[in-house]
Amino acid sequence: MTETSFHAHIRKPASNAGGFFGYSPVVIVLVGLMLCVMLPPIIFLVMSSLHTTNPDGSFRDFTFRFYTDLVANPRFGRNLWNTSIYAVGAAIVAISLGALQAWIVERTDTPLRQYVFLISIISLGIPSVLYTAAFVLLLGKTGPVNQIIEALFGIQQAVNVYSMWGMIIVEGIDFAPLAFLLLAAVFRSMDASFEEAATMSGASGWQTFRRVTFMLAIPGVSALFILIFIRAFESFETPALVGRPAGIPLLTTDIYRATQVDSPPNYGQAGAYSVALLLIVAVLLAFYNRLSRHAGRFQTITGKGYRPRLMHLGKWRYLASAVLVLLFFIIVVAPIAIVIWASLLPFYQPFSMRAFGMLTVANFRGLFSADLLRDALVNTMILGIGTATVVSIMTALFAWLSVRRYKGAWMLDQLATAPLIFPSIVLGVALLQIFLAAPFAIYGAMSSLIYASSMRYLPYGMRYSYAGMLQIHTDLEEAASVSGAGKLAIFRRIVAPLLAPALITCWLYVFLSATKAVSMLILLAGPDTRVVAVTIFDLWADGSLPKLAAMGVTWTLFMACISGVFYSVARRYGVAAR
Amino acid sequence: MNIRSIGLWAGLVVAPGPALAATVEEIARLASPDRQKVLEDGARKEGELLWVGSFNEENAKPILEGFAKRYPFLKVNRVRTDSTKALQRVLAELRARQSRTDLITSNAVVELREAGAVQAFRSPVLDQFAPEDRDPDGYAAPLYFVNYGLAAYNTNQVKPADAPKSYDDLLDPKWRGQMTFASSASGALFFASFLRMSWGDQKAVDFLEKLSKQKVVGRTESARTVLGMVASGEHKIMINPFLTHVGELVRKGAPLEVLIANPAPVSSTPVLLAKSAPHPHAAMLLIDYLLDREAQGMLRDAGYFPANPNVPPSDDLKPFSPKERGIAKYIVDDTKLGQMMPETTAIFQKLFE
Repeated sequence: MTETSFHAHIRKPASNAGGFFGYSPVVIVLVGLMLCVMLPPIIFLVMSSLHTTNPDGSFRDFTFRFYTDLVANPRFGRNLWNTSIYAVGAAIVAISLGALQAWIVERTDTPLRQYVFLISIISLGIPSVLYTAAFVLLLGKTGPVNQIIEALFGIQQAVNVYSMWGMIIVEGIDFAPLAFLLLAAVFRSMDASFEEAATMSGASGWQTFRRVTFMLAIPGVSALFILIFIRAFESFETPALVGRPAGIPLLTTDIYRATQVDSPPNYGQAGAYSVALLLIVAVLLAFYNRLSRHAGRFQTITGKGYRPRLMHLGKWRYLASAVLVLLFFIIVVAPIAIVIWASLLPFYQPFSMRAFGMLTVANFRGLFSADLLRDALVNTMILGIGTATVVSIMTALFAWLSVRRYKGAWMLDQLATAPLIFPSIVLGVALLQIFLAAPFAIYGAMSSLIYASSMRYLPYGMRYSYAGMLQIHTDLEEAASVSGAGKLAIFRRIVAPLLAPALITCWLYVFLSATKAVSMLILLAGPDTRVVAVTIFDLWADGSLPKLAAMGVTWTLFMACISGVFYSVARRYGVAAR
Repeated sequence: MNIRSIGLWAGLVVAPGPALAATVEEIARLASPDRQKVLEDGARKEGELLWVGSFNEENAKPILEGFAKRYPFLKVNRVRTDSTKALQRVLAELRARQSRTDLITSNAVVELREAGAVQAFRSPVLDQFAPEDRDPDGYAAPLYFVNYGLAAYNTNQVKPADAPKSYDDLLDPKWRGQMTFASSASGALFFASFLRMSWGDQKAVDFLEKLSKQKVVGRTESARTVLGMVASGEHKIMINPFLTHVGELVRKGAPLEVLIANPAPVSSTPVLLAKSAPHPHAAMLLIDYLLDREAQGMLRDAGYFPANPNVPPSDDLKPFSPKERGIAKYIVDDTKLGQMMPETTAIFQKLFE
């Protein structure tokens, strides 16, 4: 296909879409659906930010106070600055770690690389609060890192986790598996012929990586950067567990107080903050859309055999293996090891001979005898499977339509990304209100939980599907279209199978995340829809770290088994990569 | 509280209930000799109830089993939240006129009262309680007490001779950067409110100002976890620890000791009845049960300070009981605490954040 005809197609997909004023009916229906889903909470959010509330939480007087407060706060500038550094830093750390892993795994012949996918999935199964807490323990004053440094070099408390660096590293590592999984999809489907051409033209390995591999990955990487940046911008866990003790205030510090400490929660302040974020995100997304306008340049799955060839690293491949092992150690082994250690102690203590004498399995015993897990397990599985399936199907459609630039489909991307900026507690309250007002019984029902958590994870699913979709060249679809296939047939028979590896990852990511999400579900779950998240919350709120650790170890193990089975089934049917 | 909210509240209080047999208010205030029979008959028809709020699941389980043994015809549904989320749920239900909740455990007593979400009630079991432990307006009944120490310290790192003995000792420069507290409503904000309440604003703010120079590390983990970090040596001293947590960790062998101020601040985790409870008979039976000896004994065994004076704390906890140490109690009233909270938060924010 020539460059000209290719771009002509990109600009004018609507010409063969028919429909109203060039809008495809599929796009109209989906945008309508998304508006129905997204608008009520957004309206609620905007209304909250513009009203004071009565004691019962209903709106009282119209006011701009929350916006003027936000900007007039003398600490606003400083907090914004801190937050920006933190968010950019975390995104850079996560993407560097993820990209390094993804490149080694997908583009080289490094030994051991086939295990990285499974390992990343395992790390996603660890409940988030516990993962962050694990790094606080690892890097704390009495943590093993400082113990080892002191033993080796005699320097006391060499590492201070309670610092900007600590926050960036903890948050960055937290997002590294997400970055790896997204970038693996990007690197996997890259056409190796460009790299080969570069090598044949005399480029060194580094030059090839920088000028070709990296450039090809730009749309995927920038989307991921924006995702992690926004997420870090509004994240609570690391700012709360690391930033707060460090005395580093972020924008979320005030929101944390407004929603978690103030009673009743200050929805106005949280709302104004979220609306401001919503605007920032809209700008970022618009910027991203410009960036990926020439997405055609990055399409690498073409009609010709698209499976990429691997780069032979020679003896360097052992170094690459060592890097993988090191990252595996940092991202999975160290945090899980300290969580296991914590789970075996009556109360948490650093490593010592005395502590070894106290090891016990009592924390695990209580876990099962109390039926706490068993009751909630079925509900949690339904929730996870439902959410992951809804998100995967919807985002696959959205990604296809928006990457192919159907008229108006950019709105699907925007709408699916919008939930990212809701602090989950604000989204929770908005949905609570909506479910209670619904004319049918949805309050506390499983369907309401699936609805809520699908909304929460749409932005992530969108990134997986979008990154996968960007790599698929239009020529196969055109061939199908010329042969007379309809739109939905093209999606079902051509796009979906090609997108399958990305969708599998998307499904697993959403499944693992939705089953461990806590704060929103606490607000929405009913007595008959108890989920494991409630147990995690119970143990965290009640502060039994060893018991939470025991629960976390069990949960991680269980999820690892489920992911393993799912992954091997997917592989058997040839939909997973390789 | 502003005029409009008072109006709203009063309006809800006097609003006539459904024209059925009895209103929630009538059931809540039942005092006739056949009260138990009326409640049981009513509860039999209701068949279930919903308890929303704080109190952890592991410890709720034996209590609910005991209750089921006594009233096998009742199913207790439970939604575990914290105080604030319990408030949010109940208020959202109220606004949508779709009340599901019967029983609430939450420290947001003031907020629930102002919103007209709770009903004052009478339980004969409360007659066993000391007058100062009871809510004079009858909205809240204490489930268990939360006794606070002034400072818990790691005995491996702090010698008894050096340990702080008074409020002023916390201002010693040697503790700079060595102390921590839980920066939650029941942690540092409670501590600051208590000082304002018992010392008056001027003295309290003066003390807090000096304390803020000590670089106390505020932590968002739960109070028990923060105390655990003192036991593990991450910090030397925790200000305002829960004495139950100290007792529990010491029993497990943690190197901790605690200084209790005189008077010692005491608060409670209250049980409340929802104003529009759909199952008021069942809810009242559960309230009676929670406050009475059997359930209170289970609370004692789970390591709490029982609210019922007929059930003394466990032997493990006794060394950490203000009463056993001959220390006076200062009962921090939830209503007063809630009213002070916005101002306390502002002071705290200015000094410590």
